[in-house]
Order: sequence, then C-alpha cells, then structure tokens
Amino acid sequence: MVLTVDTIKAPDTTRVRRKFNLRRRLVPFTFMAPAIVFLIVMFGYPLFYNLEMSLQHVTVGTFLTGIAPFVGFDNYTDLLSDPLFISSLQRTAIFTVLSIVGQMSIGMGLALFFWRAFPFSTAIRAMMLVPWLLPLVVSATIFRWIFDLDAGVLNYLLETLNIIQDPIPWITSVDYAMPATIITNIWVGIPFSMAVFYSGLQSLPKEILEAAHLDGATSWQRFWRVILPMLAPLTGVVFTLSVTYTVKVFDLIYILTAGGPANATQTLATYAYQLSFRNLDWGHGAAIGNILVVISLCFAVFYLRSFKKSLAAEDV
Amino acid sequence: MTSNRGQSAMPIGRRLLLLSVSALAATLPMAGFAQAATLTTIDYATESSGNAMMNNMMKVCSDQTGITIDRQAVPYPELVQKVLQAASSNSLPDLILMDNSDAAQLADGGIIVPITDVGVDLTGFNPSIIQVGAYKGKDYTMQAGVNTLALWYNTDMFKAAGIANPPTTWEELKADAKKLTSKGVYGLSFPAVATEEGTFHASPFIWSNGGDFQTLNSPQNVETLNYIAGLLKDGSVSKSVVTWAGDDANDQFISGRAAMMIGGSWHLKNNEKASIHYNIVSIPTPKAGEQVKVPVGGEAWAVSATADKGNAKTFLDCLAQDPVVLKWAESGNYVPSKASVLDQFRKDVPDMVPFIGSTAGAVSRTSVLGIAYPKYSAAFSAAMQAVLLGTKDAKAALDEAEAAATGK
Amino acid sequence: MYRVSLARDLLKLLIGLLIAAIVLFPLYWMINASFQPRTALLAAIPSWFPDPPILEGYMNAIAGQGTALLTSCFVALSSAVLSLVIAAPCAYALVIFKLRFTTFFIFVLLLVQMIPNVVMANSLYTIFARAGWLNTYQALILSDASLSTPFAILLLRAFMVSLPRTLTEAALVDGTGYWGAFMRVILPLSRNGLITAGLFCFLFAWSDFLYALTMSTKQKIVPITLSIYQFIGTHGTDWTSVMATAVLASIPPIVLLLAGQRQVTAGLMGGAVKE
Repeated sequence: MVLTVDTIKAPDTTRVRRKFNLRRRLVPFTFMAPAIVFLIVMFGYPLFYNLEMSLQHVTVGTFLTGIAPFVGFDNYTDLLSDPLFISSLQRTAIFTVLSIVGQMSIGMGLALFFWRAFPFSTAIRAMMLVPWLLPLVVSATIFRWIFDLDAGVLNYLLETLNIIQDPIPWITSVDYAMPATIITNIWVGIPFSMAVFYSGLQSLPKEILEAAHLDGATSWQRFWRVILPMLAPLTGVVFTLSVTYTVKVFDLIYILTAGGPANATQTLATYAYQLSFRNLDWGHGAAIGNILVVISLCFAVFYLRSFKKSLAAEDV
Repeated sequence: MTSNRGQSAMPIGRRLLLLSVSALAATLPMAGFAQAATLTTIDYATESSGNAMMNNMMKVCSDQTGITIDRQAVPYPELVQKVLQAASSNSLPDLILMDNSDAAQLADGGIIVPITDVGVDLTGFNPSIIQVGAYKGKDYTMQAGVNTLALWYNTDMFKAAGIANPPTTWEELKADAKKLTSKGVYGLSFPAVATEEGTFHASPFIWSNGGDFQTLNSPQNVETLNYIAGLLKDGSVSKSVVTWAGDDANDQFISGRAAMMIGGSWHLKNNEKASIHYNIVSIPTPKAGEQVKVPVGGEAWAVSATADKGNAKTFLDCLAQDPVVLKWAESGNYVPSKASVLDQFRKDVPDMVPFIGSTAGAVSRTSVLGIAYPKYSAAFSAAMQAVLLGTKDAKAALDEAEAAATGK
Repeated sequence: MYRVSLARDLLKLLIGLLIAAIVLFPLYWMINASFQPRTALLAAIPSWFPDPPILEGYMNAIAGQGTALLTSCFVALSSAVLSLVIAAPCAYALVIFKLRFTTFFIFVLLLVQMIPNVVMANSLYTIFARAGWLNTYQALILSDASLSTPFAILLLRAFMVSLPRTLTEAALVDGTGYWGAFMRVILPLSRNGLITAGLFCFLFAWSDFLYALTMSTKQKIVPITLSIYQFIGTHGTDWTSVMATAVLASIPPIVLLLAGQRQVTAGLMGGAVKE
C-alpha cells in the first residue's frame, strides 16, 4: 500500500464526518423548530376547520351536536349566483387596490421625507405611528364624527374654505361612502408602510448611494433606479401582507358604516360577517373566508415567484 | 334493618337522632340539595348600571332559592357567538339571558330547550309576550319585562312652534315634523342604520300600516317606505339617519338637534339627566284611533340543553313571581310582562306609562319567519336605505329585497 | 453651506409639522373630545377647543381602566418577546441555510395570515377550552403572538438577507458555530429589524380585541381594547370618557415608540457595517 495522506487519514474522518454531517443537518432545525411547532399548533387546526366548514351545511345545532352534512361545493356555487356576493367582490377589489396604492405611496413618501434627520424629526416620526396605535373602535368613531353630514368637522372646514358649497354626504350616500371608508383605511395603514420603508431605507449601504450621487444621478433617478430595486424584498413583503390584511378589514368598515348605506360599503369581509353572525349561516360565511384566502394567495404567488428568483440570485 | 313491626322497639337515642335530622331537613331551603347547587348564567349587561341591576336581581333569587349564581357578562353583539362557542366545547351555561329575537335561532339548534319542558310556570304572563319566545309551537323563554318604542317629543319646541298636542296620525306627524324643522334642528330623528336596529325602529310603521316582513314587497310596505322617504324629502329628517344607531338618534334628540324621535324605553335612564323637557306618547298610526303595533325587545331567560332542569325551574320560578317581576321591570326600565303587576307599576314608574299602552299591540318579529328572519331583515334594511337616500324607488327596492330574501 | 443647511432643515421642519397636523388631526380631535362635555360633542358646530375643559372623562377613565392598561402592557410585551424569540432564529435559518423547503415555508407563513380572524378565534377557543386554558394569560399571549409571528419572520428575513454571508462565515471560522454566529454577530447587527419587528408585534398584540374577547369567559383578564368596548356598553355612550380612555390607552405605545426610535437612530446610520 502506498502511504499517502489520504489513506492514512481516511478511516478516522469518515466516522467523524458522518457525526459532523448529522449535527450539521440538525442545526438548521434547532433554529426552525420553535417556529414550526408554533405554526402547527396555532394554525394547523384553523386551516383545516375553515376549509371543512365551507364544505358543510352548518347550522346553529352543529355547535351543539357536531353534525354538519357535507355539501361539497354547494356553498361556493350558491355564492356565485348571489348578486350581493358579486357586488361585494367588486367593492372589495376597489377598496383593496385604492387602499394599498394610497398607503404604500404615502408611506414611502413619508419614509423618504424623514430619511434625513431634521430638528424634531424623531419625535414627529414617532407620532406618525399613532393611527396604528389607536383602538379601531375609537378611530372609526372619530372618523364617523369627522365625516358627519351636518356637524362634521371636515364639511365645516371645506365649506369655510369655500372648497365646496353644500356639505358632502360622506357616509350617508352610496356615492361617497366607499371613498370615505378608503380614506379612513389609508389613514390607518400609513404607519405600517412608513415604518417598514423607513427602516429599510436606514439599512441601505451608504456607499452605493454616494456612488450613484457622484455618478451624477438625480434624486428621481436615484430613487427609481437604485433605492427602489434595493428595497425590492421589503416592498414585496409589505405589498403582499398589505393585500392580505386589507381584504380582511372588517372592524373599521363595520363601525364606520355597517356595510351601508344600502350595501355601498359591503365588502367580502363584512358580508361574511353578516352571513355568519347575523344570518347564522356559517357554511356560506366560511366559503367567503376561503375565497378571501384564495385571493390573497394569488398575490402571494407573485411574491413567491420573485422570491424564488431572488433566492437563485443569492446563490451567485 | 328494623322492620315496621319493630319500629316501636327502636332505641330512644336513635329515634331522637332521626327526629332531629328530619327536623333539620325540614328547615333546609325548598331546593333540597340546594346548598351545593350552582347555576351558570350568561347575559350582556356589561354596562355599569345594567351590571349592577343584574347582580341585584340574581341576589334576590339566589337568597330565596339558595342556588348560587355564577354569572358571566359579555358584550351584547357577542352573546350568541359565546353561547355557540360554549356549546361546541361542551361548556354551555345553564341559563341564558338573551335578546328575545335570538330565541328562534337557539331553539332551532337545540341549544335551548322549551321552557315548558323544564316546567316553569308561565301563568299570568302576557300571551303575546310569551309568543315572542315561541318556536315551532313551543314556548322557549320567560321574559319578565319588555321594552318597546314610542314617540319622544321636545315640549319646549312644540310650544314655541304653536303645536298644542303631539301627533297621533301619520298626517299629523308629517306636518308637525315639517313645522318643527329649522336651521340646525330636524323635526324627527330615528335610527336607520344597516343593522337590526334599523329594521326594529321601522317596524312600528310597517306593521301599523298592515304590512309585514314575510312579504317584503307588499303594496302596504311600498306605501310605508314612501311615507318615510317623504319625511326626508321634506327635509324634516336628516339623511344621516342611515348611519345612526339608536344611541346616535337619541343623542340628536337630547342635544336639541331633533324635535322628536322614535326611541325605546331603554333611553329613559340616560335621558333623565338631559337638559331638554320632553314627553312620551305612542307612535302615530296611519289613521286616527288605531292601536299602534310595536316590536318588543328586551331580554328573555332560556334554559340550555345541558342545564340541570330542576335547579333551572326553581330559579326561574323565583324570577317569575309577581314581586320579582315588578322589581325586575322597575330596575331595568321594562314594561312588566304580567298584567297583575301593571297597576302597581303605573304608580311606581309614571314615566313608563306611555310604553304600557303600546305593548298592548306587541308583535313578534320572528313568530312567522323564525330563523329566516335575519335574512329578511337585512334585505329590508338595504331596501329602506336605498329608498331613504333616493337611489331607488320603493317598489323596485322592495322587489329586489323580496328576491334577495327568498332567493337563497 | 451652513446657512443653506439650516434653511433646508427649517423648511423640512415646517413641512413635517404640516404633515403631522394633517395626519394627526383625528388624534387632536380625540384629545379635544376627551375634555368636552357631552353637550358640546353633540352640538351642530364643532368646538375646536374645550372651553372650559372638563376632567370628568379622565377621572372615569383612570378609575375604570387602570388595571386594563397594565394588563395590556403585560400581555403585549410578553407576546412581542415570544414572537421575536421564535421568529429571529427562524428568519436567520431561512437566510443562511439553503433549505429546500424555504419557498414552501414562506408560502405557509403567508397562508396562515390569510385565515379569517373569526375562524382563528373559534378554533383557538376550542383548543384552549380543551386544554383548560381559558381565562389564562398564556392563552392570550400565545394567541396574540400568532398574530405577529409569521409577519415577524418575514420581516426579519428581509432584513437579514442584506447582511453579508462573510459575517457568518467569519464567525464559523472562529469556531463559534451557527448559534454563536447568530447570537454574537447577526443579532446585534439586526437591531434595526428586531426593533421594528418587535414594535409591530407589540402593536398587533396591543390592539387585539377579538382574542381578548374570545379567551375570556369571566372578567379576569381584560386588556384595554376589551375594556373600552365594554365601556361603550349596550345603551348610552359616554363619549367623553371613552375618548379619555383612548388617549390614556395610546400613551404606553407612544412612549415605547419614542424609546425604540432612539435606539434605531443611535444604531446603524448608513446600512450594514463592513469590516
């Protein structure tokens, strides 16, 4: 046998290498284990329960006896022929798109504004999180007062400044109720976008920004060509989560308008609530809940596709 | 062990023991094993004065029957949900004090059992009030007191406008409301929000005109909605009513921004502290001299499927006694459900007298539609709102509502 | 140069105040309302300044809601800590290890946040009722943590992804292992992200109402959201006191916010540190 380094070393390292490999395989799981356990325990049953309920005919008696006949996709097909469901779907789309565009653009704008510190910027920026802090019941009530037709402060201001002649029926008309609700929702959602974008901006490597500045790029170009692409992972998360949260928005709309007037602000979330808790028709309510999940998933898929690409890019 | 014949031969000591034990047993409360008995209850009296009242009432019968009450209070909109959650986890409370319109739903699901099966004695209770808690021919609830709607009006404003008497017909209501409307003051306020409250406050008008909720698009209902929409068109009623719940409409009235309101007896306590002078009368009817038909709200007791029927009966029988019913009604601003106590009630709470007359015309929202009522109510309130705002005409809106309610 | 800078700073301050005034107008209205008597709140013309201000609202608020505020603080802080403890290592693992199921895991994180809140509430109620954990702090803390943990993982991952691998590799060479790298190198550098994530976890838990309502069958654990809701009650709303309560309820989060923001600016100005 020729004595080489390999032949002498080989026998020992195999056993050590196996042990080392096993430990290496386990290490990631020590990091992930708490999260995996938590997810399974907290979300496993609800996911299943939600899906199951939408495929059953659930009555009040079900809660006591557990009996709920399986009806397949009947609940879903019933909804498709329900005009209120279709119109609620349209309203949900409008509500979601406009809310997110508003929240994210204003949030980004504010994050950029606060990026470079100025006197008292820390305090003012902290105060900008207040809309998120207030209990929804309180925020929605305050906006109800502000939007009031006769005594609301908004109409009062608009009339005093001569911007309008007659008071606008913000929440008392089928035309203005949705805009009023969207404005309120944007207000509540700005802090989320702003805080996340702000932190993202703070974490950007200064060198690249300075290099772009030295290269003669204008602020506009710097924003679109350098900053925005670097914030892409963060933007993706904010966007996908914003969609998920916005389609579920319920409390705000319910307290502001109760889905009215005349269903003008009835979204899928509020309709699902009405079905489940006013009509006590859980099967259909759960079906809407699942449809909301599917809608959110569509957006999630887009995010995941770009995520996969970025994962591949990281490997380079 | 000792035979009958041998009883006389029982040792003195043992006989004395037997005697004293049976004497002791005779002095125990009627409930027998009651000293250890507990009943769990659930209600929605979370607001401070209501909470205090409930605790007092529970104590009254707790002391009398010896049954301890373990009480849970949840916010009003959550009660049914809580009950159902409890049902699914096998922890139903024994007694449920719920909004009387929920009886049909809970009965249908078997969550509550007929009160007659439990053996509670309902003699002396107003039959139309018992009917409110009936489902499929069986009575499910014991409702000690009811609340209902009436017309509240600002006496100072009436004097200033030169109106001698409050309106009794729809014509008069329309005219008076118009007369009383001025800058910053509307003639009439009522809640027309998209929840059950809106339907509740519109129901006196619907029923008194001969319509109902089973047939939403009846000509009578079209006439009724046109009438109410007419009040808005006159400018006598604010368009904001479609966003107002009962409390909002009441706020308008007591702050002097509305001369009249359609409101419930539950506002009495709150309005005592108001700075305006007001009076209460029955809601006007389409024609003179008719009995107004009103909804009756309020809380009703029901027994859950898993309750100990013996204890439940004992406790509820206590609550159903005349003096207890009177106390319940007086402390909760309800009209008592037993005719026998009405005279005393009239003397004790003169403020409530206007409501007593109205309850003679009590109609149940759920007696015909049962568990389908919420669907019809939701369809109706959407139609009503569309008509009030002028976006649809009454016939079209009600036709649509009828289709929506019956379609599914 | 100094002059220009000062001018620009002052201009920014003015614009900043204007923006704050617009965005925070409802907050001003809330504070205004908390000092006004009921009659003023119902008047036809809005009154801009309480004249004279009344303190009844605050007295009612403090008397009724003091415990609720403390409960909220405790639950929200515990929930945030729990979320971060679960989320941070998980986020790190997703970044540093080339796990094959990463995309699927992200998918699950997004999916679980889509479950309607009411379904979650009912399911968790069933689980905790069977475990006999209703009316306990752990049930509420766990439920509130479920609101924010998936989000925290995603957010922290997005932050950690921008930290260079060389940091971890250097630590590994030093023989500290992955946990050592995580604790000694990555966590300190992720302070930005941790504080932001922690802040949101706290806020999600603080503003939770549904789980607080669901998990309590007796009045044992009442956080501020539930307390306000009950304050509003079935009939007769005392808006002055409600608004006063809301103002008080906003103070702890705002205080936390200010403290947290200072940490962030004191930390990394200018992105990731390069050795």
